[in-house]
Amino acid sequence: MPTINKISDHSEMIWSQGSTSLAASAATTNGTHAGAGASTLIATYFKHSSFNLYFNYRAFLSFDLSGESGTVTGVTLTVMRQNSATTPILHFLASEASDDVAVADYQDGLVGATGYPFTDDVTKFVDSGVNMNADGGGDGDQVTFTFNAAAVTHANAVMGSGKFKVAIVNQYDLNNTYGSSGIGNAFAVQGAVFNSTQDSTTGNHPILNVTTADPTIGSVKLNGAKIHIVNGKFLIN
Amino acid sequence: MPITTEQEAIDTIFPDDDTKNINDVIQTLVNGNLGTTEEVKAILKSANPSVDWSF
Repeated sequence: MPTINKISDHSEMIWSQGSTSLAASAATTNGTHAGAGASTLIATYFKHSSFNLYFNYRAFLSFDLSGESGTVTGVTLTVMRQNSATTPILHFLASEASDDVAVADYQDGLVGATGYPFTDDVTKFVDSGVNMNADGGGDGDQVTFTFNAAAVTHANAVMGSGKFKVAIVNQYDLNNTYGSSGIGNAFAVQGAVFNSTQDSTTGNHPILNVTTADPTIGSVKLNGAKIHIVNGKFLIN
Repeated sequence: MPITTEQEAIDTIFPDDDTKNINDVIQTLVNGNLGTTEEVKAILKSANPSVDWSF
């Protein structure tokens, strides 16, 4: 079956920087920053209470399928890693973020989210999330995640006419469990970090792999007629 | 407790090394994917406005 490997046109992150807790940063309607210039694509967190820094990140990826055709039968996502971190679990959600992501997309960019938490309101493209410990590869590796039937349905809806958009959030953000997570201070962003479309090497950008059904081959009955090709002209007598 | 001085920021990351300065703190956070050097400076200032930063 044919596969289209579509390089992302926009894959960037939005984060909310707060000064009280990770839970509070996750719960804001808008982000505080959009990572238009960052080569990193992050969907995790940074916390250091001594510096009053509590960051919750969400990643938004977009793939233009408007020029494509066919019936989609499968969708996978390939991303390049910038580190080898194994936790937390990541969730892949349907997105409707703007093309040039902005702070207002922090929550509004998630299909179905009308407030926080949005645990039961969003559409998952991987049923139970991705355990980076089991599925993640390491620094510099390309890793591929297989999407579910909801993603296939969404891809068919935008095939030939629009963009396939997906957001990545982490388990504590999706499930509103930062408060009970026991996450301590650290001097670095925790969890898996991927390459955004701001990375200078296009080959490192996220890729959506769209598998389509084999094209149907029709037949024509001539019922006694003959086909001639004469001087480059196609004739049926 | 949040820091109140730049020296406390240095001691937070390098508690046993008096050769380190605020630039080492900033570089540690840059290496931790928090942002560029200028972005990290802005982040530290915005989150800790009462600290008398040297940068």
